[in-house]
Amino acid sequence: MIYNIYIFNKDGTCIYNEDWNKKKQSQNQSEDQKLLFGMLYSLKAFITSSSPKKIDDKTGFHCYKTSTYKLHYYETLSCIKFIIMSDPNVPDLRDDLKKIYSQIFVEYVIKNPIYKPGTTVKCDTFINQLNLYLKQMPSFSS
Amino acid sequence: MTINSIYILNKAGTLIYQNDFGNTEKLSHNSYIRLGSTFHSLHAIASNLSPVSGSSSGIEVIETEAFKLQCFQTHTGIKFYVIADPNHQQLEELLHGVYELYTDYVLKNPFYEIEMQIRCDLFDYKLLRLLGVRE
Repeated sequence: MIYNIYIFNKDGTCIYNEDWNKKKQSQNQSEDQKLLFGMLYSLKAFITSSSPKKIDDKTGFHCYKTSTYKLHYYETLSCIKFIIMSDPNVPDLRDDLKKIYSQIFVEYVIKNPIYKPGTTVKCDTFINQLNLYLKQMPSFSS
Repeated sequence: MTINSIYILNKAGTLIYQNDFGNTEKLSHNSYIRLGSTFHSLHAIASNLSPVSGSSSGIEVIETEAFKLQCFQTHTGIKFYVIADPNHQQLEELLHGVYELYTDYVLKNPFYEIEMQIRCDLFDYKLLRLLGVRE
């Protein structure tokens, strides 16, 4: 089961957020986005300093799990962060996040001439393609 | 399957025990305390961010390319967490073992003040033996 997706630009602004199969109505979307970004920022700092080996800042962190959800993380070299929350039993989704970036985000957002880099994504083709991609995944609603 | 470090935090998030094993690089004592309380807050925020209604636990596992962190929180709020090899499979059992040692050799020690730093030789000794058997 996939619950939601977040895309953050390199300044920490959430440029895309969508929920599916949601079981909780959030009071304040933008508050949640900021909390998530801040949490991931400190989590990465925590990981870098507690790691026994040298660790890459961008690809080092893979995912974390609690009793009710799992957070999958992928960061591009241009510091765009892709985050999916799913239920805890879903296997690693980083390959899917990579595909969402290279085959959907780059194709339909970055190559869109009227899209201004760093602003909220409102391109319909991107949203349709993203939904299409996620909904054909076996773990989407099971 | 190496175990790199073990941390124990009390219910307020203060570090009460930390030890490194193998050839893990040592940090300063202050850094360990800071890492411990950082983890305590990340744990609390993660349970707040849950997309599902009903209460969620905090972080149970963190997976990275260099290590895996497994955390176990007792009903009394004490957190045990271990940093180990990414492919280690039995970390949950290991943490239960550490919890057992804690109840037997720390809580039952008449000189141990609850919520304070753990300085019990017997606990250190038994912990090393537990890890030695598992490695």
